[in-house]
Amino acid sequence: MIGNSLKKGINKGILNWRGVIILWLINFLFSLIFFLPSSSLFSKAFSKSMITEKMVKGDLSIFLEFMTVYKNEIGVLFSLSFSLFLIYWIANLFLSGGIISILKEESKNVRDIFSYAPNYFWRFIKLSLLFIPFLILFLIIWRILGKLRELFFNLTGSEIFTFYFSLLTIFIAILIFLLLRILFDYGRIRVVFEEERFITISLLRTVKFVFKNFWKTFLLYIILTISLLLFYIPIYLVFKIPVFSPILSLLIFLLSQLLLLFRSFLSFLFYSAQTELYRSLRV
Amino acid sequence: MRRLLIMFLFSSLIFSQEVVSYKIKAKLIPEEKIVKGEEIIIWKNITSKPTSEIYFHLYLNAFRNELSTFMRESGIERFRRKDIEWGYCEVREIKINGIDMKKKLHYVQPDDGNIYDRTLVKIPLDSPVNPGESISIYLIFESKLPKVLARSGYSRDFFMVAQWFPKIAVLREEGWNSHQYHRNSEFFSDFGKYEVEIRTPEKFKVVASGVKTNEWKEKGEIVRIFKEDNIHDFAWSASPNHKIFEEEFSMKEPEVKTKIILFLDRDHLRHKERYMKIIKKSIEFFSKNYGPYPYKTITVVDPPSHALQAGGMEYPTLITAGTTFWLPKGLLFLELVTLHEFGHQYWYGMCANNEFEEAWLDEGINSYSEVKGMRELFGEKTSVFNIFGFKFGDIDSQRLSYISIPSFDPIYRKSYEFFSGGSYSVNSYSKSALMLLTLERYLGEDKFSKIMREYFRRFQFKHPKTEDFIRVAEEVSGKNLKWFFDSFLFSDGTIDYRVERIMTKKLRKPEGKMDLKFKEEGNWESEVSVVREGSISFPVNIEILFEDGKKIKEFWDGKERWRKFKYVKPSKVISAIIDPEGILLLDRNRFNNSMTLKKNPFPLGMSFKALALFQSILFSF
Repeated sequence: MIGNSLKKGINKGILNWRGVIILWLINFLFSLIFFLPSSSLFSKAFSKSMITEKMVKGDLSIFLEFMTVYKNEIGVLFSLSFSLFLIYWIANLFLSGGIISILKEESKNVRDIFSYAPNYFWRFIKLSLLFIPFLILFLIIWRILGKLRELFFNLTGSEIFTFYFSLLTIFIAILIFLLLRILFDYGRIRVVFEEERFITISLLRTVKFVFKNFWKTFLLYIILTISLLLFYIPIYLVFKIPVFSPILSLLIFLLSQLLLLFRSFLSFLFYSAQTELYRSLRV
Repeated sequence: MRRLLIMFLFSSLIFSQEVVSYKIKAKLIPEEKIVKGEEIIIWKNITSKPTSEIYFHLYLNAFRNELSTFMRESGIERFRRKDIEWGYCEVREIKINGIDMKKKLHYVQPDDGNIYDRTLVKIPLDSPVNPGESISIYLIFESKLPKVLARSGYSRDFFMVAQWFPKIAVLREEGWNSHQYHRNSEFFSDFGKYEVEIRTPEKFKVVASGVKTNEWKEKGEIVRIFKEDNIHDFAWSASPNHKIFEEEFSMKEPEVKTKIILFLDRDHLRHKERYMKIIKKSIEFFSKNYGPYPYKTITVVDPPSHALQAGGMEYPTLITAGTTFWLPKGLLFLELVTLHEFGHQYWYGMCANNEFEEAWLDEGINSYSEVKGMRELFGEKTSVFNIFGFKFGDIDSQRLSYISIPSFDPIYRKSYEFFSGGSYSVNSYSKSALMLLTLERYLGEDKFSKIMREYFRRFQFKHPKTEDFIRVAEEVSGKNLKWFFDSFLFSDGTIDYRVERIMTKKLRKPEGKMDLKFKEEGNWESEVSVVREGSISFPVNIEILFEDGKKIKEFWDGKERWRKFKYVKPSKVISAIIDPEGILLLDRNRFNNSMTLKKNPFPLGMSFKALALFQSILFSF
């Protein structure tokens, strides 16, 4: 069933390539807002300086000096980033309603994404708000685990034990985090598929659905997450390309955007594969 | 018996150059975190003037309450925590030449007048001690160790017993040099003989400064005797959970024979070889470069993770390092801290400057040595970490720390008078190290190496001052270096050279009535402008590159705020670099030290990488 969902999800991703491009385009446009001031900063610091020759060779110290000398400008960039993250998240939430709808209706028309999306936006906002207590619970659990670790350390004084306990707490935290993401994804899928308007009830039903089919939903999510992690290997390699010439700069741009297009496909796959699994499990 | 002992100590002092002799009996009461002690001090006035008072440091009183100078300077909030346990050092009894002086003892605060600070006591004497005369002092004291902070105290059943006994201050020609315990300062004491008897419950293992000469069991306790000459402090550590590893170390050129004692926490056993290797390499490096390590032992204390605050500190023949169970091989913090603290055996231990007043002489010179040592052992660009393709060197780490703090103070300043802890630390460690590395590059490595060896030779087992270092540097180099030290050591000024602009134009036949033939027609006129920001200057070379590949090196003393270099040549200037040899390590911004007219693809490439990174992050939302 998982394999089938993945297969169907991939097919739908390929068929809806326009949707993939829309996801990439929106991501790209948002990132341009960050790109403009950051490239102006790089230009200010490096355009005439020959120190970049050292940086090209991978001298980390020059990069760290850059972070120190231009810490004020970098601080502004960070603030801008956080605002962009928030706005992008809302935009993405808006689009997700449209994407799940076209997957439900098996439509290939990109316009449908935008026409369906408004129907679910407020419901998704409500769903997100309902996740706040879950997030608080997650933070509480994290804090409790931290306190437990401290307690064990104070009791035993053993650094080795505490080290492994810390690894365990990180593992538990990741599991909980993944579970929350799974619930959020299926929550949205359910709202669209069942046209539910009472979000609290919908969320409770989603929880029931996810736990009833825990291994299937969880395994699919893990496979998707691993494929996502694998994506970072080629992007890391692109980052390692030294910038000796304008052609190499252009190559970096093209390669990275190609990979990010694939990343966009993976984002789409999260929706499509999980939608397919939901479709087969709800029967 | 006591009289015999005093006579013995007197006679030993008369024949030695040491100023003071301590014989201490200490008993650790682990349940109460208390050390009870009895101390006999023979102190000799080696100045040319009589003194009618003496001063003692009671350093542990820095942790007595939140009103001590140490705590106030620290920002007491840092220590106002649930598990705080205060510490103290109480003198229960004191006799000088057999006369009870307890009532005359009073606390003094020469640095800040803080009446709540009890880290320094003064005792007026009934009769003055004349030049060359000695007095005997008998003390009974009790030291309560705080929960480990500022590298001293206990944590669970680990004890780092440092600055724990009443210690006599230093009398110099100009009078008593005695300071309170400050947040941003370490210590200053006279060289002397130490004989310390340490009594602990049987389960405790103990290491200490000096050589263990005897050990026996007595009523469920173990008594150990440690002795050492020519040291100016004594520290020890006790724990039931540590293992002691000992290895003999010897080398021929120069001749060194010593025993390495490693006091290793049970959770760090996997790092035993790393510790042993780096301490051997450190002895080798310092002995070869500065002079042979003369003591019979070097003890390395590895604090447990719950007592990390005890780590990274130096005492004569004993250092505390620090690591964690999980520390990977590529992270060289264990090596860096161990080498640094060992270096203090030279710069603090043997060349024993006043750390209250001239911290740069130990921390700065030692940080310089640390950079050199780490570079020799692990490579210039990989001496802090070299992991997963990320590399970082010690010299870069010093620079990063130097440029990250605004310059509010000169290096030469009393430790407790710096603007902040950060300023103290940057000036005393990083800026001083970079200053010495700059001087080394300016004078040449061989010459500077001779300066360092000579400084160590002259001031081993002495108390050098800043002027002593400058004198040696000038004598050995044969140069007047006043300008250098005035700029970088005594001034709070900064330096930032910048290539302001490069202008080029092709010369054409001039208009108007010409009386002479214009020879330069068809040539390029180029102008390179360099600017100095900041109040101090340093002579630098400027490398000018022309389009036809020819290079010119110009010299600029940096005294004027700016300088222009003009050329009329068949080829135009395409780039200029200030200080191409990288001699000046104290330039606060290296990005503007060069300029090129060639198109630089780097900013665009970096921008594309940043864009891709940002996009990847966005996709996770």
